[in-house]
Amino acid sequence: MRKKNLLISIFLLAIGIFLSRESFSETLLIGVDAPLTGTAASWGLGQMRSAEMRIDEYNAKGGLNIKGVNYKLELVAYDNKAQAAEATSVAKKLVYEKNVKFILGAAAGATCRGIQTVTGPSNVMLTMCCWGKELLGKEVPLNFRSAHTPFEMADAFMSSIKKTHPEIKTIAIFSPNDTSGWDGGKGALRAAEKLGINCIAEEYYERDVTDFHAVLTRVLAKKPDLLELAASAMGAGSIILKQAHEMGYRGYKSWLANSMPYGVMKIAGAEPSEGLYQCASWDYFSPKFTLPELREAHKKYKERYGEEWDYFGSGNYAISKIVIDSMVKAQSLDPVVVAETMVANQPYTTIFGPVIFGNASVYGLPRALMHPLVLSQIRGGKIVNISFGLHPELAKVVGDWKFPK
Amino acid sequence: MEDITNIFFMCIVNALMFAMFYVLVSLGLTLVYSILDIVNFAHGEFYMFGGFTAYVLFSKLHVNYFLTLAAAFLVVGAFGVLIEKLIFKRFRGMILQSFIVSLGLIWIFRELARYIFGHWEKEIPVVFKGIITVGKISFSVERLVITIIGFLLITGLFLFITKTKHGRAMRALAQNPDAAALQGVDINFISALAFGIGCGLASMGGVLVGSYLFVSPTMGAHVIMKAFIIIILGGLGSIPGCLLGSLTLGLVDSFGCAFFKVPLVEFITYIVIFVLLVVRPRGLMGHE
Repeated sequence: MRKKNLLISIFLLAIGIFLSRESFSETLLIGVDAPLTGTAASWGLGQMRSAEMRIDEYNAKGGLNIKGVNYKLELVAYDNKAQAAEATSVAKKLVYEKNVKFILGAAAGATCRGIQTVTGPSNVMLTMCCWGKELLGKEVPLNFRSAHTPFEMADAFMSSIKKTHPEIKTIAIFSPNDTSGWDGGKGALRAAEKLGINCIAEEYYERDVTDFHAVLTRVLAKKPDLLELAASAMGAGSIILKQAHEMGYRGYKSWLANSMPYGVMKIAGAEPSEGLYQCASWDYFSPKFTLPELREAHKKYKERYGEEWDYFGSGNYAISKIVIDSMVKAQSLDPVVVAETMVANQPYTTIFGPVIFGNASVYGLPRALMHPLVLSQIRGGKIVNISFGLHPELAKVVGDWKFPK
Repeated sequence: MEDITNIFFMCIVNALMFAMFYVLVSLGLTLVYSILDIVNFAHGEFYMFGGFTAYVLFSKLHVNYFLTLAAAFLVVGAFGVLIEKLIFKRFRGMILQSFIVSLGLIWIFRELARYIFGHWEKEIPVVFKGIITVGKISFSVERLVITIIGFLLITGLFLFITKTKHGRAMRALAQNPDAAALQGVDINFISALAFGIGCGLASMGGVLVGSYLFVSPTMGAHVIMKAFIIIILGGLGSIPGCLLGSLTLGLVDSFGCAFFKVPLVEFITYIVIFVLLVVRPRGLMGHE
């Protein structure tokens, strides 16, 4: 008798627990496969946190309703330590064990190559900020990039600098000795050559190098007009600026992929960083060439995580909304259908302004996020937003769009 | 001709300063190896702790720079003593085991630092401002002062090792532990002291270099590789060898980069080290 009562009680308890769940919701897992520890953690954490913020926003509004079923979004993030083998292993875990269909966040080029060996054949959507021409295209149609690369920004960047300083005739490029570094270096080189700027030094260094005096001795002896830091990470690039300044360099400075200018100013110092041009970050809190939504998002991030938010992380935040909204629009969780919807319904209004997925001429498919490019410069210890421009492909779609005054 | 002369002298300056940057970490490493006969791959993390000590004390709490330097030596040195007593003591003389244990410590220390301080690089305000220009050669006052302080610390270590009772005990232990014990040397005490001094020296390196570059949880990774190259090149356990190894590496790096691209210089550096070790396997000043 006692046993029977116990069984009934357990059964009733189970029914009660089942019924108390929110609206019989399903759970949609959103994966992140990024470096959360190690030297690349600064990018990976930004990717993860953006996805996390976005997911929390949707869940706060009741989740997603796809074909009458309510979905709660859940983040599943694993650390790939910026190693390709680990990234592949993580991707397998996400796709085969957790049945994840959307990986919204990946960083570091070599790891993305590893991830797509799993996501590609499994028709899983991958959004990432990794550079690398071969990471987008017909062989990986469900890959989308959430940030500008040299293919989207180098030409406009160099062109703006040359227009402001027509006396620039020579350039020295410093970039890390890996695939992202070569992309940055070669991108800057291509853009410079198109403008008739002669490249007198193209230096690729190992990422953990911190003493650049020896190589700067050789490079600065050639007296470059412009020192371009391409895909240098915040620490290394700042040190190059500092050491070049110490060694007497007073020419122009630019940094194609600088996404943390405040950090650069602190590490390099005020004088060495003065006058630095960049286009992968700008003053996100300035009313000049920013939208209120961007300022608000950066404020939220800083309050929540206590750190500056890098450009690549905010790019993932922007693209996550497009992906999730497209799921709702398409009323589908099939990544192929969602991808088609994403491309078919552009342009989108995001925290950056209007965006499209474009640059099919480079990648074979329109999968690169393109947004208004803001040129900024470090002046007097502050980041000053100088101007903005639209990639010709974006301009064709949004016309004469301008930031609100 | 003038340009080549300027490059030549700049290379000499770079090599000297490069040597001083790395020698503090390398000295600590070779001291630990010579006395405890262990390979501590986590030595670079004590250098990192020194950097963060400077970040907390000098950057955030505005403690005097030289006091910060002393505090880093004492605090990190004491921590090193604790680590020796708790962990490395049982692995004295066991190179492989100590190496494996130190690998685990690397991850623990690095992630601890990342958890406490975050993953972004942290800056330390410039202590010694200004740039010195001699002819067409320029370098920062900061770099010069770091070089001088480094040299003074090395001199201090040398005097300690050669002129003090504990220093002589360390040398005795390095030469023959059994004989040293018979002579009344307290092996446990001297081993812990040596480990602590080694870690303390590394931490001072972290303070000096951290204020010139930046501090980050991974700053020990690069320096430990260079430190191992230096102590192997100079001769395991040899303090003068450590200095010579640093200078050799500095000269190869400096002059190499003056004429070749960085990836090629890395390759040349390893070739030079390989050749030197083939010719002289015990290192430049190592013992048989």
